[in-house]
Amino acid sequence: MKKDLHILGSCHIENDKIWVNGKTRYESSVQDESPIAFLKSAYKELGIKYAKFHKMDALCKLGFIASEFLMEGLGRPDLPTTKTGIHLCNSSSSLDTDMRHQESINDLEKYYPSPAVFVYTLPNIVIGEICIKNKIQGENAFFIFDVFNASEQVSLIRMLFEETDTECCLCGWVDLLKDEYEAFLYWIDVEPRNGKQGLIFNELNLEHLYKTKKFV
Amino acid sequence: MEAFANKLKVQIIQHLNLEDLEPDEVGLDDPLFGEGLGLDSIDALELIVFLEKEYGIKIENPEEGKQIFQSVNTIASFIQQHQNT
Repeated sequence: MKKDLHILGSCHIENDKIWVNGKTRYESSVQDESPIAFLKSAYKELGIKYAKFHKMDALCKLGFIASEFLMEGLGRPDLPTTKTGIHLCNSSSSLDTDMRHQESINDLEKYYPSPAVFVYTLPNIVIGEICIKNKIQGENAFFIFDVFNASEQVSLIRMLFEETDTECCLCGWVDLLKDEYEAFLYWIDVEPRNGKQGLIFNELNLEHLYKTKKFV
Repeated sequence: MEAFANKLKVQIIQHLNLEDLEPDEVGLDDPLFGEGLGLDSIDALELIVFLEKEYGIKIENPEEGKQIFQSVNTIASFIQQHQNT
């Protein structure tokens, strides 16, 4: 049976700025901050205490911060843990940390493959970090695409809802390489949550939301 | 002792790649694992390697590690005890 899906919330992060549900939620007062510095200031803005954040690599920090602002915008709903999915994608995979790991093992005299670094040399670790924080245990997948592709997203996420017992899903794009970063997360649900009706989940609405950051 | 513990704290932050943490944000008696700094078993492994590389101290018994790695101060005491023997 085809389920009606809705986009109930969104979070964009790029150029030292965070939008939640189409509205500016946080903007750094420092221009051209490094991604790590910006994400730390965003973490402070959230007002949460989550020590694991400081251990994460930059990609995980970006995904984590975007997911936290998204959840805040949704009113931090109680989630059906085993029926909540996560579906993420990007173009740079975990290359940012892969290169750091490579640098740490290039010098044979100081050769030391640090577990604290190489544990992040997979892009889907960002999914794990979000799952741990939110106790999510449903279906998950991480895809690599050249660019954000609304058509592919709609197709894959529809399949997820139609072929599994998924009831809601955190979806989107989390990409980071050196000083370039972009996150666009959105929340898909089969029914209104916390009184939010949201947007109909289709290619047109998703593309519009991604490009304009306007939640209308 | 406090000066050494503060130097050790900076080394630990660097070694564990806690790159966005400022030393002032970590108290010398703050718990390192669990709810404190949020370190886990991978970090315990890193700390064991760190002690061996930087201070030439081997921890043979993992149970011993639980006591040693409670905080920056407990690690500092352990190192100084070993350096004095």
